[in-house]
Amino acid sequence: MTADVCIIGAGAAGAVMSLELGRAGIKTIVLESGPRHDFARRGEYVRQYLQHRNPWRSRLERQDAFTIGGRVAYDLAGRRTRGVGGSTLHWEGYALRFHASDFALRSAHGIADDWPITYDDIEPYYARAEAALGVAGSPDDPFASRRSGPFPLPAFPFSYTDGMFARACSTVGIAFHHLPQARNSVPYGGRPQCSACSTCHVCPTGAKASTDLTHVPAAETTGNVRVVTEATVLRLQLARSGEVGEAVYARADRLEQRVTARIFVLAAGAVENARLLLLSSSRAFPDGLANGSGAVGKYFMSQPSVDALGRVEHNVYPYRVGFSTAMSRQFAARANRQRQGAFLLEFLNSAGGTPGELAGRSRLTGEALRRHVRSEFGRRIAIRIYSEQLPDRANSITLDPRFTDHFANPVPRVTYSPGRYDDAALDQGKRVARTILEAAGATDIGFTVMSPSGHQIGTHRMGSDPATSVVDRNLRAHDVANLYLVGSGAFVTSSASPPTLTIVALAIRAAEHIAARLRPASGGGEPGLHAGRLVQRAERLEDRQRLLEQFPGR
Amino acid sequence: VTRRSLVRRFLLCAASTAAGLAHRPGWLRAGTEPRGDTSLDSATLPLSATEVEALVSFAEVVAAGDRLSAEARRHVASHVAESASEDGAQRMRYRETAGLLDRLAGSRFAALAIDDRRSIVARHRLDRSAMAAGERSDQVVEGIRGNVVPDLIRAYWNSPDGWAVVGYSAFPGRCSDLARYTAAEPG
Repeated sequence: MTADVCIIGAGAAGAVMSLELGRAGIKTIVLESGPRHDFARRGEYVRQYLQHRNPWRSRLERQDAFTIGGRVAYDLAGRRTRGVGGSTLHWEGYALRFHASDFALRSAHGIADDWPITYDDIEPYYARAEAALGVAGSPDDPFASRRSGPFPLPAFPFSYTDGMFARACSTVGIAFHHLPQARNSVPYGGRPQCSACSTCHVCPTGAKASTDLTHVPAAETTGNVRVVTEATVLRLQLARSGEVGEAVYARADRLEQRVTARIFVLAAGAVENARLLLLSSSRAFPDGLANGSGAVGKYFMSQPSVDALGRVEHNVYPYRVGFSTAMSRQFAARANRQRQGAFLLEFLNSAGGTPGELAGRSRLTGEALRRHVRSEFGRRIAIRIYSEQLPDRANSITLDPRFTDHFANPVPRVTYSPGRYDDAALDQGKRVARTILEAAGATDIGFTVMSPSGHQIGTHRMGSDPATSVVDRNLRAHDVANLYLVGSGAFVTSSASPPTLTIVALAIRAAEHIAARLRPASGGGEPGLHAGRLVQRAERLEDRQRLLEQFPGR
Repeated sequence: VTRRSLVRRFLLCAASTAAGLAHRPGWLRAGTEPRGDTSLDSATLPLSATEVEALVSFAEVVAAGDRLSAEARRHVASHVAESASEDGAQRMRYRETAGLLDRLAGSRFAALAIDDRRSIVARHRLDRSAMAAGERSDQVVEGIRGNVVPDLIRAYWNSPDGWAVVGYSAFPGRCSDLARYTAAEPG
């Protein structure tokens, strides 16, 4: 198979890019290692989900195997999904923009590194991402960065529990506002209004945006995009030019097949992107493809999180909606982030167990059990704290040659340990959450143990310097001119906010860059490696100029 | 087939019979296994309707304390059938439970009135509240108390009847009016 562009992965980034490229008239092949999950089977998937089984799990044995390193076990199982739509199939749907300060931690606070782009660079793409996914929100967040336009959809109204939290936050002087989400508060994009099915990890109606619904069908309709499913890419191979010449993939039968293209895009998530680069080592790149910096697989991040729970006297009616409707970003863009990370507060609409969970945990039976469930149900409120995690080179994705997957490739080894900076943010978050819970009249306040979020970030970071980063500001690999690495793996810092909207915005931006490169207005051909380097050099100079303008004192 | 090979096969067969069936080569063993091997059947056969019925009737006693609605019965039965089809160990535990209940009832446990079923469960201390700390009992009974009873309890309480106990007619998996979550439940 041959195409202009070969995209590996049909999730948040890959599907979005395929639509952008297809609309630009660029022949694109998407290789997706998972299946096309038939929407008609969502009802059956909901049933499995309610029985605590993962309907999105891979069907091939050991395809998602991994090993653990580091102080904290980062369990990948259930934290990513293969298939058309990728992790947007099971995501919460929270679609927050990063704060402007998230892009400039080094300049503003002297820690970590700056991104090679600013909030102003990405803002128009955030607007396009919100329109594409259908984000419902309200401009009531006093800490939000500048917006060029309103949210495409009205915000979801606050919940009954939110009312309690809003009063408590007002008492203690903490901002309380809507949580933007890629879920239809009104019908939008040919998808229905949310009908509160409360199983958002498997949305049975399609009201929650997922790229199998919002992007892939439209991409295929352009006639320029072909999605090949259950095709797992095993490695990328270099051509004599020093650029990627082909993607080698296989189906369950393990027979190798090839796709050639002018440009290759890795869009398989932060873990698989890094793993594929490491699996694609060659004489030219003995430590992994595009890894001249040694940064491939390094700086792995995932926001640490903790739930704060308290007991209340009256029923607060949980489990009537599957998502949260309120948050506070007051601490997500702190004035002083030198010693302590930013954190975000999510006010949960459900806590304390379903009737099935309450009954299952009790030792009672019969009528006594019935009385117990009735008196315990709805008597918990909770706040989830997400903290920013600093990039740390020791946190990484590497290959573990002791174990292999279905295709005999080494599985990823995840080394993850939050540091003092991240712990300090969680500790402060717990103190703030306790204050709010007490103001809400809660008693018996406690905290869950720290658990990393489901977001995998870092591993092929963006930067201006090829010695310390893997991709440039357009997500093009510094070392290989026709290779792009998209998704949250390119993030320089984690932010305390969920990454998906930023993934989509950056994917649109990268697609625009590729389209301009393949279809230049002047009608010229694709710039070669030399021309590509000149472009990159010019962009680096532009970056420096922007930073000087933004932070003249530094 | 030569006469020599036939003789050799006969001698081998005779020797195998003397040494026990397990030593026979595969081509001889095929088609000669004793029929009706109950241990094999109970490990592989799906639960019968009678067994599922016994388990649903048991759930009425330990999970609800009362008769279940037709919808809740269907929900619990479907949970039992699905769990049994996916997990062989669970299927065995279900089968042992249904068998024990019928033996203790002296007939079909499911055919008894609920009060009689309650008496049997209480007399033989099959529900988990009856288990004293550190108490040891028969392995099957322990499996019932430690696994089957909590499993049936969760199945029932996740059913529409379980949610109705807390006043919900719509719950995770059953969609409803979007505005409902913004206010207290009526009543």
